[in-house]
Amino acid sequence: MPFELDKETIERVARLSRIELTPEEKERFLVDLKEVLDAFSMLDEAKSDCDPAFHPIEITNHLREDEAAIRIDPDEIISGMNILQRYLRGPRMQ
Amino acid sequence: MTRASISRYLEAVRSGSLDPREYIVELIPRLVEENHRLNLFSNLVTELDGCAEGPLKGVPFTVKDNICVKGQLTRAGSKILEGYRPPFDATVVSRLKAAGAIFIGTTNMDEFGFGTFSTNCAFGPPRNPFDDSRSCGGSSGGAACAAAIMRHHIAIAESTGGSISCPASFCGVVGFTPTYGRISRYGLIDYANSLDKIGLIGRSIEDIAIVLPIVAGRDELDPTSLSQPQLDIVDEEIKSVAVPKELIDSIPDDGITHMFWESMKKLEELGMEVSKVEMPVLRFSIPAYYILACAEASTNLAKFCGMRYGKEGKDYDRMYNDFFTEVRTENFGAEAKRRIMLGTYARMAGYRDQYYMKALRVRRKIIERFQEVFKEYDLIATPTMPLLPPKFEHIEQMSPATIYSLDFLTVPPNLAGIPQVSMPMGYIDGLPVGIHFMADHWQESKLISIGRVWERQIEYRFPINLGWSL
Repeated sequence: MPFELDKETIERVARLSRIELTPEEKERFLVDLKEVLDAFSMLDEAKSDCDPAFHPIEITNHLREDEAAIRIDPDEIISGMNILQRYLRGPRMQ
Repeated sequence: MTRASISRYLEAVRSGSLDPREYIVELIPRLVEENHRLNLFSNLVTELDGCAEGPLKGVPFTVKDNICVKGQLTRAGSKILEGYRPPFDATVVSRLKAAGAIFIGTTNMDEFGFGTFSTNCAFGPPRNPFDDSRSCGGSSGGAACAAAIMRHHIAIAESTGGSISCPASFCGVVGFTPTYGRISRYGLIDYANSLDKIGLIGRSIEDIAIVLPIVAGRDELDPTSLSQPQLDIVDEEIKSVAVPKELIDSIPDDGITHMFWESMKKLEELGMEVSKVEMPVLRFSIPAYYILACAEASTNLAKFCGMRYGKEGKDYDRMYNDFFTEVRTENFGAEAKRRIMLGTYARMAGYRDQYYMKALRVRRKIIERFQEVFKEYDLIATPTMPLLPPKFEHIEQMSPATIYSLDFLTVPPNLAGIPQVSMPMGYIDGLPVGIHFMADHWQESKLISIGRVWERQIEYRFPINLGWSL
């Protein structure tokens, strides 16, 4: 299937990615991603009559004992962060 | 002599004829000097940690910049992690330290592992020690360069789609990528969780055989490591080697292809059966790999938003989307933005089945085909890379799609999570060329075995030999 990629789609994808693009970047990424997706369109020819492989090996669930544990001192973890009264500082939500 | 350098070093330390701390203190100024030309290190230590009693007592090790080392600058080649110093060691690092190895520095890499040539590093590319106008390969370029210039050292690296094998080939060293899940990834800054593997780069297969059992094994901090069988390294007789027709016939460089078939003749002379096999499904490896890797990367990198790690946002009065967007826009490099966008696109409503789910099913087909081949053959072999280390000026002319397509030899085994080793095969115009051996899941011992056989067939050349000759 040919892939439809246009400037509006690039802008939407950038917005979802939380990245702002300059007009030059929009042009460049449109060309780059079109070329990449055209090359990838060969996937349409591949057989896919099987289950998806989310991991390359078979992985079984292993659960640890349900016991409280602190591996790293929380004060050490937050020591490199921007903290106010032991809370992580962040931007406005509204 | 350069082989088995770690074992001779360990003998000297154990006998008391070599003081490892003194050795490393003398070595570091030489590394600083080489770093000015080759830019292989992201960070070199100024003070050495302790030197525990253990099987690797005194062995210097480096760590790729995307693996956490407590208190050390760890940036994954990205400006967005500028200033980040992890409050913990990755499991691979803590195991090495407990075994007595001494951390000496972090090595340069493509931003978050996004690259084939280490040219996407925010802090400049490492340069090939055979010819500094050429690439070291990527994304573990600094790690391979470190192994190529330094004796008695092991580099901890990481591969998602070939990031250990490619630079090992370009720098003329041994790059070992184990089965997915063999080495704990606790403390790795993820690129793509279903593909990432921590591995080793060194100067000989014997060095790999010494270090691998120490860093491998189950770790409750990485659930994917808990399904592994025990690692037993024993000498195994390798009887048969398969060469995938679709891969070998796609290599444009006749010199590399010729050298590879000459190498296969050597294996036949040693009694191995070498056969061409058909693996047509491998032609879908590149699109399947890049869709999965970018889809996973686009979610993994969502956590880099100006809070908690590295670069902080500036204006807390801004709305959260604007705050996050500003930090990410200013600090991600072009290739990181490209891959985040590609992955976001592949996961968008309306495209998810067409790209992401299809790629997962193709991965299953590829794994099944590898397993069919391994029922008949002990190993699969190809050249590691389809080209010699390119010059930086040539890389600049390549489009992203062209660069992605050059991974067609290393991506298939990485997509399937099978173990692989790249070793020097020979030299063309003074530049190293790698041979790539692959084995079935958990069969690392077969790779060590073929490595020992192979190293008796070839004399390695190293461009620089820092450290004492023992």
